[in-house]
Amino acid sequence: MQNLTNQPILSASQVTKTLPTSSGNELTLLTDINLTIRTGEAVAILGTSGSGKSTLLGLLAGLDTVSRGEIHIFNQALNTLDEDARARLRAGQVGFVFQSFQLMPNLNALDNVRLPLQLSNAPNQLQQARTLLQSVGLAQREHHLPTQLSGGEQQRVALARAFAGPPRLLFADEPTGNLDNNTSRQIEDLLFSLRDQHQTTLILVTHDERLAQRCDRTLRLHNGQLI
Amino acid sequence: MTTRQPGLRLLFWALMIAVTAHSTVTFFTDRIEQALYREGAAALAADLVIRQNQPVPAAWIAQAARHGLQHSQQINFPSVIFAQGKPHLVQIKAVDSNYPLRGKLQTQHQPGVNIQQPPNPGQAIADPALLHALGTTPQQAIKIPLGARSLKLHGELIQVPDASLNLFQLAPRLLIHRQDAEASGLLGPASRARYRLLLAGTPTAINKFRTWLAPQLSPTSELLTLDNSSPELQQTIQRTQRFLSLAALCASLLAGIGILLATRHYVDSLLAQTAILRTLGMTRRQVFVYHSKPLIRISLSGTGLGLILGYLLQAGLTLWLADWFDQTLPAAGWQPIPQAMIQATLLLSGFALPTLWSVQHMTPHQILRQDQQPANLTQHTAWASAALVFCGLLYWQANDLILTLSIIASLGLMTLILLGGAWCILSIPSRSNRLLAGRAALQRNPGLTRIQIVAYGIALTLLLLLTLIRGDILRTWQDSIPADAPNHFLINIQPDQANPIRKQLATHQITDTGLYPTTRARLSAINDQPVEPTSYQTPRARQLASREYNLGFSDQLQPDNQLISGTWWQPGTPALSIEQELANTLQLQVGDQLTFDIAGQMLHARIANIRRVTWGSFNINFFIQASATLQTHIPHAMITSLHIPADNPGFLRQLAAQFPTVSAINIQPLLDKVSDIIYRGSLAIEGIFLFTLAAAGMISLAALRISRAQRQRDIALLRTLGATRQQLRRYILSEFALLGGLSGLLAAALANSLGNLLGYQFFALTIGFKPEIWLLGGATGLVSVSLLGWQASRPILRQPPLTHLSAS
Repeated sequence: MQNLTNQPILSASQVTKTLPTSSGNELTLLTDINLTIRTGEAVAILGTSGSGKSTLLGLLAGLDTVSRGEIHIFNQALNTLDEDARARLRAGQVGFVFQSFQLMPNLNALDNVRLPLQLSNAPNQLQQARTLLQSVGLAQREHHLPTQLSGGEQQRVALARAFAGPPRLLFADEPTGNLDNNTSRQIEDLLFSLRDQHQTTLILVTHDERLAQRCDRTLRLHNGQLI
Repeated sequence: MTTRQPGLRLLFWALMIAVTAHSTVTFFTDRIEQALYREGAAALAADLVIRQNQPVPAAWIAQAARHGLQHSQQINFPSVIFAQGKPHLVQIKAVDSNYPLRGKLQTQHQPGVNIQQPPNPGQAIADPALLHALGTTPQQAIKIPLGARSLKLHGELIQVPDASLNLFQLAPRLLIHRQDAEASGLLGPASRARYRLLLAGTPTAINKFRTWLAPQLSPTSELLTLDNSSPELQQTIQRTQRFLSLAALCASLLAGIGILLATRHYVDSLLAQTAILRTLGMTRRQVFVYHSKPLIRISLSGTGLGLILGYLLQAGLTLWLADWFDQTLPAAGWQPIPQAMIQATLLLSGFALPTLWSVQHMTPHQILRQDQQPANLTQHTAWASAALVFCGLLYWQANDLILTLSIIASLGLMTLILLGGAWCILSIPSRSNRLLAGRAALQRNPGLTRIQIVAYGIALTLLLLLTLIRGDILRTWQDSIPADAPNHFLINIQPDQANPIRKQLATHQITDTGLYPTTRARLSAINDQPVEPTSYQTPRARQLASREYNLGFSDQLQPDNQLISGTWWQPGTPALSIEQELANTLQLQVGDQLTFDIAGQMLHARIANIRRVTWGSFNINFFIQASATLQTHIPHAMITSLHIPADNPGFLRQLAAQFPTVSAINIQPLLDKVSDIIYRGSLAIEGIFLFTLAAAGMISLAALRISRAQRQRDIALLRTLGATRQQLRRYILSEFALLGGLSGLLAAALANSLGNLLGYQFFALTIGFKPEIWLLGGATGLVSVSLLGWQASRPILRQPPLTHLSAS
């Protein structure tokens, strides 16, 4: 369990996301989302397919822009930052884990882990990357390309990359969605173990009740609204 | 049109680009070729000339009219006119009011005032030499008798478009109206009159008429076209066409590469769909038909749109080049339309269908498991089919087996070298620690990188090669006609006049190309077998077997001639040398004995060698050259060619006064025509070169479209991980700069090597090492690919990363 503080690391106020449709109307994906995530907290956003979980995660991470409302991350309002400023905010402070791993196919395991370190100009990049790979049990696989690794191994590399920095805030989007039960358990354990080790705030999107229960609290999303 | 699948949409664009590129060049070259042939036709004064000893039957003229052809009739015969109490041998050229159908006739009655009308009945216009012999001037009008007619001679001939057809006429020319010739009473059976029917019209109508006429021609009739009437013009136009074909070939190759890239993407996009359809119960045949239908729709719509764009682009290109042509280009023909349709069908059949065929033979399980083994095996067949179609298209475009084979071998070698270069950049460990360097980006999809390097490399090689040969070969080509090239022929020089003429030339410091004995001779037997013109298969061979030749006598091989087979003879040896094209057409070989009939006297000799003649040099050249010893006891006259400077116009008048039987033929108009064709041809090639450059750009865009999805995903991921725009810009640009720069340098190496090879093989040129081509290649590749890549990638930077991550 992390040391929780009352300091909010992320907050969303009246966040709404709409998309224009071909008929000229608007399709509402999220409506008036209000939430606060405190430093060190692990929060699960639970919902069925199509409920808007991944869209909300993208907005919270600054990967997309809101239609209405405000999101503050590290005390900075995302809508006042341009794309480069949002990228700088993420570099070294925010980590991501995706359902489909999202590794760079042309880079080996070691270089995939090293990538965010290079983007943030971190010192001792190679050493840090090796240590992270070792921590996920893939020290012997550092020169393997993603295609030469199993799904579970790829997600381990993705976890090592996500904790490079280490980040203050980690976003995980269905991190075990593409894996079998056994491998899922291993990845979950690794995720929470690394989170504890680095004292990282975690926002996790999932439809898996069991996984959600491992977090400090759960937010439920239904038809684009928190319930 | 079903273009919802991204692969199909890309194939549609690639096919449209291919057809646009091909049809633009074909429409444009078609118009230029028509213009060049029109220029050539001016030297015939028609598109087609029939020359024979009998009057032209009225039925032929009626048939020509039915084909919509213009016609003009002409009678040529030698005669003697009595003027100033003296007889003068003249060559009568009797024309009608339609003359000439092509080119320009120029006569002058007053200094500086040119007239382009043929003489009316009762009028006559003469060569300057005849006017001088008659002691008159162009401004004076005198009466001259011609048989039963009396004509008013007024004016001199400045330019007669078909003068080069009569290089060996014996006397000065007198141009009169045909009605006067018919009324003169001089056209009896012993008149030696030659009748000509001049025709002009569309190529289709001309060809139809030729087909209709062929069985009715007598062995002594001759069909004169640009191909056989004027070898120097023919050679020049053939060279121009070869360059234009090469330029069109470049565009076709680039378009083919575009199809190849698009097809690869299309087939990739089909795999998942095929598996689903098969799983849902579709048979293999149904799947094949299902996938083929959109291809047919794509073929029709892409070809149609490509043709329209091609037509508009060539119209724009012509408009842009309007200043280069001092007259309007003929309208584009319809031939590019079926050509483009055939090309599109072949490209799709060769590149897409075999791959589709191989996909339908995979089991759904194999596809869903992404087990590519069976597809890889059959893909070899698909690639072989693509290569076969490509080679066929190459032959179709080049229309020359040796050129086609050379290009195929060159392309194979180029591909291997470019693949080697790609392997080096992808496989050799880098010392760079930068993960966002271009090399890392190129490793994203090594297969596509290899294809792109080969595509860019081939495109740039062709462009650089064109630049190289355009500069060097055209310069050499233009230099092949020196400023002091002969511009006059002196003919009918009697042997006893040779030395006085040499002295006269020396006095005026005029250099001649040598005086050559010549006589008219008809080939009567080959290896003691009588020559039967009708025994030859082709009309051209029948004409060559029946015509009279100007047999030249000399023991010297002309400096601009080249021995193809056999050896040159020692002086005193009876021997013959035959021009290559004549030997090929009549199937003559070294060692064959030929017999010639020279005014009833028979001359026998064996062929010692076969030689290639450079007709464009305007030196004295003969189809058949005999050794000097054979001229003994043979009646002959002499001929020479010389350059008379423009500032010595009085020389010819003095020569005509001193040697009235010697005729001077002005070939300056012909010389000007050849120079003009060379000049325009080189400009046309430059125009098409620019279009080929644009086609290369289109290929780059096609390749970018293919790698776009993966690039989008990578950039979205990097932005998610915190990469700034500057870092991403460097990442994108370094990828394309490396790709373009490497392709450019490899292309420069290839272009330099191939330029040397092609220059030596086809144009007898040594090009050597060209550092500027290396610089140009590297810079062009780097800048053009970087710009295109950056332009195509910019929108990706503007989109939220979530869009692309969700899509993946």
